[in-house]
Amino acid sequence: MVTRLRIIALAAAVALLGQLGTANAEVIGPLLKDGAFELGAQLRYVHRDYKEASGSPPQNNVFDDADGMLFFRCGVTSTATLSGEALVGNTKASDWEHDCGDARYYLVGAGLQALLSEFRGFMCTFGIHGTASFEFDRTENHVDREYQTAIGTILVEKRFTLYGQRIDLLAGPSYWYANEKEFRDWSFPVRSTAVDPWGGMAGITATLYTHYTVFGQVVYAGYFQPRFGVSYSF
Amino acid sequence: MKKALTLVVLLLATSWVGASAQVIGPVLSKSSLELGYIYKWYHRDMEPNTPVEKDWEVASFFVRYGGTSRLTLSLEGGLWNVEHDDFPGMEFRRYTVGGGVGIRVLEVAGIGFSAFGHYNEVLDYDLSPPAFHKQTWGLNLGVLAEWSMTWKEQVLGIWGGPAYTLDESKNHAWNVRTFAYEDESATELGFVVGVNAVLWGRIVPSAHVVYADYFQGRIGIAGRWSPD
Repeated sequence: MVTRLRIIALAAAVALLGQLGTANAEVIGPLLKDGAFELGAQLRYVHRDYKEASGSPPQNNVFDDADGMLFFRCGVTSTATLSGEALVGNTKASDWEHDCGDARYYLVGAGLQALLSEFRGFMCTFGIHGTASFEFDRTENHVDREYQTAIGTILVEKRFTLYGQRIDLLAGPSYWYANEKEFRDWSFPVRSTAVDPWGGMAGITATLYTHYTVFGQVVYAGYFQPRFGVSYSF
Repeated sequence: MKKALTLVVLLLATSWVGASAQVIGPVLSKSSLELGYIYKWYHRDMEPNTPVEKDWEVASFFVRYGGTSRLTLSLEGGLWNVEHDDFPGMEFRRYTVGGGVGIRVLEVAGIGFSAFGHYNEVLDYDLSPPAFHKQTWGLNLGVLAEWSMTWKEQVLGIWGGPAYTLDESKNHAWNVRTFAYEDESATELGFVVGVNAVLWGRIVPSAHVVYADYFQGRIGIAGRWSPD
């Protein structure tokens, strides 16, 4: 059973990474206990409206894509969880004006989640996370893009056991900042910022047989945007 | 004149290969976690383009975790705005991404033997008009012998062994993407030797030298969380 789950988790991680696209990325989840370490992969669907900050004529201002990345989360104390994410790979998808047919993709990010209070089995946590990613266009279009996102959120978390497996529910308001720079030729980048940054998120995390974590979340920031992932808890 | 200028520019573009980075160290005990920062000096002979001798520096944040008593996983990443003396007035946006694994193979008479592998990739994106973008790939493979001693509850570790160190780079100029100057390290075989300390169970300063063509130093500092 354990071997089968391990194979499924690995296959799911590979499948998620195979969906790699462009980036708006954050790693948010339930607070981990002191010394816990998770390594996993996440697939996120992103749908945001952007406005150009540079005063340039508006282009297609809807960003609609999916992205994937590898992440780790670790409980550095019983009240603080650090997270990081990184990925390098190839990407093809982009629905902005110019299509990146063949681009190299780089992503790095880090965050912190900390306990604010605990009351009657509920935990209230505060999380911040920042991510930067770059699409390096390898075609003669050389339309390169850099994405920067930052999130601040306050979450209420509830943990319980169901059929011997641990379930975590979380929900709360959040602020989702997203910025995009498009580099064309040798001019200054065209900057765009996502509108409707205020929203919220809700999610469920199931930790199966102590080590195997499956999670799903919905983020609302202008639109509902789902995200899924798997991880291994050491 | 224009040809000469282009040649000079492209030679300049190839004189700095960008960056590569590795996180190498002894295998950690089970459930031990290290979060740290490392700074690396590089000095390689790269071919076929001139100049052959190139040097560069890289900094990155890293995490290392002892998944089992024999397996250590590592990830590294960094995001910086960097400048270089060879390119006054230019500013590069640098993305550093990497990951690796260390596996304890056996332990004999207090000396641990492990194998390691680490891959990394760096993009130096030139934000200035010449658009001298640089990409680098690096691979480190090797075997380490690890020995440690404890003195007044502080731990000192010494480790070293043969290593295969491959660096490849692509240098772009003037935003031309279908052609790039590609270089590869001339000598891959060398060795790595290092020392690290675990102070009060929490603070891990480290230093190591990678020899491949030249001696290349790396220093780092990390925080450690360990159930031991």
